[in-house]
Amino acid sequence: MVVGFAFGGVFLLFALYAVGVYNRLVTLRNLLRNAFSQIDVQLKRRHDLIPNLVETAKGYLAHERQTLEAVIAARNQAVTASKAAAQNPVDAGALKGMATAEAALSGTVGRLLAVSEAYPDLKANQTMSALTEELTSTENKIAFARQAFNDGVATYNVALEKFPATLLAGSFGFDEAALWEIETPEEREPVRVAFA
Amino acid sequence: MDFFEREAEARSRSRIFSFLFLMAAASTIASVDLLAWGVWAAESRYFPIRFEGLPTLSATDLIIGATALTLVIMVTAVIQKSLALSRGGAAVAELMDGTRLTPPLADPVRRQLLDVVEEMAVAASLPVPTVYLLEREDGINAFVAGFDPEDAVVCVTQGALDALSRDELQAIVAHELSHVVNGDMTLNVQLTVQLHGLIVLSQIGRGLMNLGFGGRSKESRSSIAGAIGLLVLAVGSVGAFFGGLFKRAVSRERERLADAEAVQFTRNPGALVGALKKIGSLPCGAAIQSPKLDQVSHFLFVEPDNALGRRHPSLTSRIRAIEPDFDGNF
Repeated sequence: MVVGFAFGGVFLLFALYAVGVYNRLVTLRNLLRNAFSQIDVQLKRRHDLIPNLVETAKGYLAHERQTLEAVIAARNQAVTASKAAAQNPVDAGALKGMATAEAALSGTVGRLLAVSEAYPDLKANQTMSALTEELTSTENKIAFARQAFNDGVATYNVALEKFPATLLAGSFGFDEAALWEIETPEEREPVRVAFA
Repeated sequence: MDFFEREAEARSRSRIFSFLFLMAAASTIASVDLLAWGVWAAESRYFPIRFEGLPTLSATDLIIGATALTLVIMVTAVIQKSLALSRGGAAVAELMDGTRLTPPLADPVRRQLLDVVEEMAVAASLPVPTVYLLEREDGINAFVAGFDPEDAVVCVTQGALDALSRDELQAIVAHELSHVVNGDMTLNVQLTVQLHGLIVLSQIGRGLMNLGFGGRSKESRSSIAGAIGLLVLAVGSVGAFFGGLFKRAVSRERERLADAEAVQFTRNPGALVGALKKIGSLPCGAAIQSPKLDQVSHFLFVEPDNALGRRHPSLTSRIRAIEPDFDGNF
């Protein structure tokens, strides 16, 4: 009788602990998904902004055709990669391809903004200055959203790997999340601005 | 620090403060009881006159009565203050003559402010707060108001828009949003309400004193009412004084944390230092002209010289926390 109660008590404690672990992991994973969708929203915004920016800059930057073309190419690649990732969100490879394409796009856009500094007519253009501010803000938001996403990944992974939660996490179907890492060498390098 | 730790920390902090408040309220009530008993004892000792028909008051009745009266006064004060503060962030912003900024905006500087607030909301994983511009304020300052993140409002002065760079503006917005993330607004409302419950007794005492000693005609003066007022004021002031000290200490600690998190969100310590140095060196400083200053002074980014009490650490000490070899010359 007493032994039965003792076993029952231990089992109850264990069940309560398991429920706690499960709920915490679910909440963390949802926070993580929310952080990811934040990045996604900003990336889409950037994809929409870039054609307008290039269209406005084209008339002034006749000598910078290469830069403009690189931006357009990188943008199209990023759109394709994000479509692939959206179709198959669990695929780590698709996610990585998306991150790489976006990083390449950040690099080319940064170069375009740096180049356009050298054209006073372009800088004076009101549409251009509005677009530049919007794009700068979007770039910042992408960086901050990535920061928040990576912080969320770290918290989630720590919660997942801590003993004894780690013994349960696998059977609940929780997997380790991947950081949004910068893969291309271009983005690691600082943007070079040449003064003529 | 993750989301859960913040939440758990905010909850335990709020419990500790509620406990301290209950202790302070209990000792205030005990002092009032002691005072009432002293008056009663002195009266029955030196003026043992009994009126026919009037029931004699026992010490127990007196103490129960005094306790009940003080409790009713405190509870009323607390409820009244919570109602006054529950109007939400937008009401505070409009009280300060703020103009609400909504896109699309023609002015590039204002558009930049909206962008910066959105960026910092992304960095802090918060819903984007409503933005108000205080067009008539030339000092460099900002504050947040509201109960919770959904209701939060960020107010920035015109002086800040004119004087600060984009990065510096980002730093002060990050500082303000840190208050939102950490639940400081809720904490502040809690502390203000509780402190008001302690202060109300000293206000009543002051009122009685004015009535007793300062009446216009000789007949309306009553030195007994005045004397009681003085005693009530003395009892009430002790609670209010320590409550005030405590609240200021808490506020200063929250400000330091917000500075640290502004650096964490922006990853740019130079911008925050730049903004603080501009406030220290420019003639406009952090001044706020609005007569309603005292209603928001505890939320401000930097406390202007004309605000009551010191709830923020000094500018120099805030800069030194980030840049240890700052010499104090702006």
